[in-house]
Amino acid sequence: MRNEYLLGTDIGTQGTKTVLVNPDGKIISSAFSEYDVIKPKPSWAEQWPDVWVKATFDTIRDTLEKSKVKPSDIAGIALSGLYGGSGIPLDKDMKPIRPCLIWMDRRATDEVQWVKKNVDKDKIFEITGNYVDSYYGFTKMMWIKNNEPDNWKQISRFITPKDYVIYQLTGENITDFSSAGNIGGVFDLKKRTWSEEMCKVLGIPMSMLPQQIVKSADVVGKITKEASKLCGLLEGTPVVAGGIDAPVASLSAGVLEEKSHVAMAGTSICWGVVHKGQHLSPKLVSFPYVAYDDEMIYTFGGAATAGGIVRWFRDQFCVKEREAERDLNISAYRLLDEEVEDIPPGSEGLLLLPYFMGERSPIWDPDAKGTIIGLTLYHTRKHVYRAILEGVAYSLRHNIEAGLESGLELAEECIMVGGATRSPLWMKMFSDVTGYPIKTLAQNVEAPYGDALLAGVGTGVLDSYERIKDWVRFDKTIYPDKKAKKIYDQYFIEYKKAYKSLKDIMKRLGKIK
Amino acid sequence: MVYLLGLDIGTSGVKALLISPEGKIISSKTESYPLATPHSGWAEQSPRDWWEATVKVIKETVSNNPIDSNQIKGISLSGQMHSSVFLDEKMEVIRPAILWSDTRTSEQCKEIYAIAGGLDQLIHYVSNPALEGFTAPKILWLKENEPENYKKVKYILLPKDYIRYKLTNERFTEVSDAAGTLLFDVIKKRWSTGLLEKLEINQDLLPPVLNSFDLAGRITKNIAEQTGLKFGTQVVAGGADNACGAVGSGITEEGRVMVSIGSSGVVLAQTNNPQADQEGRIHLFNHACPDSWYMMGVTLSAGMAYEWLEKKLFNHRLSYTKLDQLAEEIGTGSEGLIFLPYLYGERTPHNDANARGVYFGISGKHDQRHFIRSVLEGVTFALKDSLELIKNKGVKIKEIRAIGGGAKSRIWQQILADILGEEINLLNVEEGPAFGAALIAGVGIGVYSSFAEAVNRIIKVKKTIVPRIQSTEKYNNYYKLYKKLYYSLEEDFKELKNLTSST
Repeated sequence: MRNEYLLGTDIGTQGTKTVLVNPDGKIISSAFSEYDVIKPKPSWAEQWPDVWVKATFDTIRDTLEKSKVKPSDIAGIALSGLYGGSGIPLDKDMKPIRPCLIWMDRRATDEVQWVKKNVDKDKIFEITGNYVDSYYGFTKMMWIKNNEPDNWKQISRFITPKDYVIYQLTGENITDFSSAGNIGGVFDLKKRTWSEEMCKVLGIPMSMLPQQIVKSADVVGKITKEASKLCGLLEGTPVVAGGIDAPVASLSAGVLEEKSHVAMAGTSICWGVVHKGQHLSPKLVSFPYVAYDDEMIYTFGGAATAGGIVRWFRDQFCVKEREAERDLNISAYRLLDEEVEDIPPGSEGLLLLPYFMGERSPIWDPDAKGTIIGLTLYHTRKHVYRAILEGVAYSLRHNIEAGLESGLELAEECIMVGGATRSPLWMKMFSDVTGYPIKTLAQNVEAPYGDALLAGVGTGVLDSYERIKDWVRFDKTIYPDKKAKKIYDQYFIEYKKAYKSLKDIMKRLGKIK
Repeated sequence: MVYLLGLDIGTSGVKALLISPEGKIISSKTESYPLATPHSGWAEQSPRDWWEATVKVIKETVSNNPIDSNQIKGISLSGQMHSSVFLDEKMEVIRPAILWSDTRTSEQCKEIYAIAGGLDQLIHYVSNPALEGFTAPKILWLKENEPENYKKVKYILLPKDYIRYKLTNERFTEVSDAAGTLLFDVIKKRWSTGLLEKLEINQDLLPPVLNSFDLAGRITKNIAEQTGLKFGTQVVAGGADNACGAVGSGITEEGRVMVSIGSSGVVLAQTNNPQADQEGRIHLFNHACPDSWYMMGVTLSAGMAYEWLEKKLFNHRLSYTKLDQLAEEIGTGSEGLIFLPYLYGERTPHNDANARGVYFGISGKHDQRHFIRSVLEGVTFALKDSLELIKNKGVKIKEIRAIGGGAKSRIWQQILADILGEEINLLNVEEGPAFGAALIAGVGIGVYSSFAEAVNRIIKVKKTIVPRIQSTEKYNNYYKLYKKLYYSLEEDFKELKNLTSST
């Protein structure tokens, strides 16, 4: 197996992970490097790109060292990345001007209002396949324009996080279809290129957007001499474009066919489906998929919190379980699962809206707030925990429902990946709440694994995307329980109603200083 | 030397409190008795248990201190309101008393509204709405569900009136307790013959009504022998526990308000100008002082909500002192976390058994401390609801006095002052209704010339908590949202209730 090892690197919001696999998909080694998001204000989230570059170099080097594989046996590397929001504004010398406003950043509320008022909803949706929210990168570009005119004057171009890292590795300045499409607003989804018309309407010069858009499996350049010194890969090693982390993670779960849908449940939830673009939803986010890029569309919805709330609850209310975790080496989450297993579906009348960080799709409400409704003297901490798990499952169903409403067709089973899959109880709940059988993967590598596949396809080590099917192993499928589903159906109606009841007060609450 | 004995026939037990006319506590004895819940929502007690416990605490009071029972010149009683004692022609108890906290009578309440001609008419007759806990629906319940027992009923008494009957052999009630039967014309201070007729309840079942401070009888020979009290000792009528509690906190003149944070929360304001709330959100009852009334709002889970937090949400992990400390680390308004304390439904102002507890506005920045503080704030908002209704009835607030377990917490005192936007006075004595009963005994037998003399001599403000203007302004904004939350969720509460009862 000389010269056939593959590297995949995923640049995430909280950390970067690199894996090295052989052509059969066996993981040889991996490395992870963690970092924090810069949050200067409550709804702001930024990052200087050097953090990503360093983490990428470090994890590549660590992975190589751990693997004992010779750098000369590495066939290539592909990279995926977090959704970079605005992207990094660069000057004409390719120097960052200010930190990148990443996807989590929600400051561009005035810009969103402006678009809603001044741009026809049907038109923007017709061209881009998306609507508007402060999540989308184009609103963040507009924010910089409106609020930092001095910076704006210096900007020569915007570049996404992983494309900036690729630039540092290869000296090439490109982007891929998924990354371009995710900016929304200025990308023509059907023509798969920038929309001159929308650029004009929104006041974003087309010259600031990457000139070259490639497929995710395309080789875009080679490791430079300088980069070689920093990451340990040989000069000349091929670098493959990769894409946005969510679809790449879907790919890592073997998703290639229309209708296949995957929910990634980690800190937040991202649920996405692959299709040919006949049906799009203004409530969901759509951009080209990372395999069969010119044919397939990836449409996804994202709940802002999932594991995030579970962890928050563990840290605030579960001292006993954390002690047991230390003393007995059993995960606190597992203990909590055992404690709430016997509480019936619906948590005996407790309903939780999981909007602890506002909410993305399908309600797109940055002012949304977490709420626990239905407490009585009888309810305990355990009920609240179960209500959290259920609330997150409702948020997944809410997104799936938005997809179905727009006419999207879904496969009979839903694949789930991410940290949440470690909880069988939660998986059961996701199945009972959504009504879909849930399939989980035997190993949870996610995006870096998909990157390795793209590296293999791009460099010719693998003959097609279909090889992923040989790589992936599934656990036993979890089937929904009809009785539980019936109960959850009713709570889900309440879930949606309660938000409507509280929406206005949530907005007003945010205004109290 | 003269001493005064106050008895309080409570729900968990009886208390006998012996005081000097200066308010000095000579002896305090309590004895508990059980509460039976034969079905969910039922609550019953045996009047015999009350009586045996009362005899016991009186005996202990008389025997275990150096005072000669000759010197106990006056006795009076306080008692749990509404609970009904059904008696036959020999004044024997027919069945266990149905307590104020019993909720079996929802159907009968509906009937009362229908028969009376709606809420308006009912308020016109008795100044109060029909709540499950009141006496009238219990009488109808007995009539409909235990006709054999009902046929035997010759007399109906309230708990402390029954005990007074046992002490004196005289059958009376007085205005403050009669007010809670839903059969009493609170404003005209007499049984509502109009409503009694409509409900087909014979007025002869009910005892004559005295003023709270009237002499109601004397200790009989038999009881004197049994208890060690002096034969012929004067027994003064006394009052409902809320009225006596108010007297014991000096709430005896117009504009004085009592806020009590016990298991439930009570806001009570004395008034000389009775105005019933047309929507029945606050109660109007007769007070123990001459020609006076009080308005009262009740929030069902006050201290109980904090206890729930300590027990159920924090699993006894943190002491109340520690909870208080953690709450103190967080600023006014818990950074936007709002708690609705309707853990047991709510009385004032919603009269809604379906209402539920809510934590609203949770975001990533909130930690356990916010969850603690917002409970204190939420309960206090609920108290403010009652105070606002009372203010709307034209009562001019001159002074607010806080009592009860919750009022002992320093942080809760400040939150109370800040949310109500008023100075809060804390008192030198906090002995509850039994203390008020002893003062009523004193007024009744002439130890004090008036209620004013009694309370102003004994009850002093020991500390005043001043509201912080900036906090008050901020709380006013949160309070607006707090109020809106219930109305926004009213339907959702109902539907959640249906979901839990169908599964």
